[in-house]
Amino acid sequence: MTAIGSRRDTRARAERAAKLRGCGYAWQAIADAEGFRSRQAAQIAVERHYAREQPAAGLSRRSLCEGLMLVKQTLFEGLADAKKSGVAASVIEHSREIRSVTDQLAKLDGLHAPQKVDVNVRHTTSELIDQYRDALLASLEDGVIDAEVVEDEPKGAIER
Amino acid sequence: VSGFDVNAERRSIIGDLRRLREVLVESLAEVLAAGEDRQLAEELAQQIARTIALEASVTPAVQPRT
Repeated sequence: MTAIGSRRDTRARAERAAKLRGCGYAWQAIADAEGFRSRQAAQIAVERHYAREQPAAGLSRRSLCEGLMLVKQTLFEGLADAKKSGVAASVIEHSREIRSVTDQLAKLDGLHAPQKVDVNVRHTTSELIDQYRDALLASLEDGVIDAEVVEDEPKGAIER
Repeated sequence: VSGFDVNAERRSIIGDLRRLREVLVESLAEVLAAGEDRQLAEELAQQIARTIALEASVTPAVQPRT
């Protein structure tokens, strides 16, 4: 018979299972590693863990975040080692990856500031018409338009 | 039961980026002091600039008083 631990133990186990899931482990592997009766039991424990921790967030999103946090933690450890050993090229490589992971986390959490678009209307319609008229006149020789004036037909005069 | 705290996430991410920037700046100083490869120094400077850009992107803008 499976021993039933305290609530704290149960939650800690579910949290570990969630982290393993975040690392991409299969449900059966998680069940084997953490002693769940079945893969379904492991899945339910992880779902309950997510529901407790972040009720508003989706499961897959939360799982992605867990995975990225672990990756980031590992990368920071690598960065510390690279810094300690004084290998600047390795510091640069770790920096690239840390920034990439951090950017993904920020996107998942919706932390990027929205892009602001300033629309500055500098011309009124009449100013634009004046500009076009001046440009047209400037393009003509002697400032004269050679055109035929056609009178509007009076209202009601429909051609039969 | 704890909900998703966007401000805590933001602070955490900004903190990480600052740590990263500090390490990069220290590395750049070491590279420059040792007179190492100039390309390495330029690459570190680029990394610092990109880190600052990302930090700025996730930092909420202060609204000017009108």
